[in-house]
Amino acid sequence: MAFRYRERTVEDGDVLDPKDWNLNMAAFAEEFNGRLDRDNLPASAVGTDHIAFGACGSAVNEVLSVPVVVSNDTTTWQTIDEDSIAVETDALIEAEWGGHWSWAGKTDDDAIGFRLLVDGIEVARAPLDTARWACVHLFGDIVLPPSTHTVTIQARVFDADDDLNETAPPTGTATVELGEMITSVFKR
Amino acid sequence: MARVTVTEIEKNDGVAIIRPNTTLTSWTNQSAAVDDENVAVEGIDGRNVVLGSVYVDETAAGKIFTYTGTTQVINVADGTIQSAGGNPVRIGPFTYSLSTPPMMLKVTCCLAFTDSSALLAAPAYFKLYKSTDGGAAYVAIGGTTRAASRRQSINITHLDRAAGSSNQVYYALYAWQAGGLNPAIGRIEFFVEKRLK
Repeated sequence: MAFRYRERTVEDGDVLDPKDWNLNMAAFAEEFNGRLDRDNLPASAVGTDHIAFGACGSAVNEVLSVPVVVSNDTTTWQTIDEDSIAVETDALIEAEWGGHWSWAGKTDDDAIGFRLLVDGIEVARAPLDTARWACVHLFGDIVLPPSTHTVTIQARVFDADDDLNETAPPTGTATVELGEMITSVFKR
Repeated sequence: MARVTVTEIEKNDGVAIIRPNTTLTSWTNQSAAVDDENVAVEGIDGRNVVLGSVYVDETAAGKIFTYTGTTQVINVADGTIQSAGGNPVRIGPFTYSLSTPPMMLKVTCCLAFTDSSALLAAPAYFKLYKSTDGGAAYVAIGGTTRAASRRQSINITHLDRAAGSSNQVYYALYAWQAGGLNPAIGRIEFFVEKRLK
């Protein structure tokens, strides 16, 4: 509540007028009935119990517990897992996914890449990797308006040349074994 | 919402204190029932909020595990806590509410890993476990297994939202290998972010 001038100041000798009382009381009530703010509350007045769960944000997770074989279709990204979260205000969406993969029948040039998307917008990408067994952890942030947001992890496999350029379908078969997607929402 | 009602005095009212008293009674009653609707939208800021109301600092001894040396993965099968510098790679206890919805614990274990095996050799495995007493009864956390070979950085992150049968929890890193590869962990950072709201 910002500083407010007193509506009426009654002085000695004034004629009694109900408005003097009524207006002063109405000014207080107007502030109290829905317009209190940081100036009315002392420092550290609001504790954990006063804050509604989810008022500052929330988080959800999605566990990839069944391995996913990545198709050797090199023309499209293939969805490995996805999750969604409903957000009621403008918020910072923090998406992350960690997991690991393995190859069967792999040759040296067979490679796999990953990307992480929020509502179809790419927020993180892991470059092609030729390891036989390895882990990847992608992390990306984006500010979005209120809506139900979908986070997606996708993979793509190639036969890569020495500069890790994408050239042709791989010889082996890649499987994304396990992983976990965590989507955190931070109210702005 | 606590709402004060001003009972106005009107001209030509008799000289009585009833109406002012009614207003003051409303102030007395409603001032004890202030809630969120009495506060303006975005009316409070960080100064008004008690430190630690939303996030809890979990950096005390035992709540983080940091190791900067090199330690061998000697387990050849899943089932034993990894040891580093003579200590089990374990953190906790972290306390949490059993009420619904529960608070959230985000567990992260980062490590650097190396072995001398060839590219197509068998991998080493890493996985997070949890326990309510920090003793022997550790349970595997689904989806947290990671496999790697050669030289890699590994990050295992898990969001624990499930209220368990106890109000405290420990986390541990298990590691094992297929045998004979002599893999090693170079550095470990193991910590938890505790989010109350």
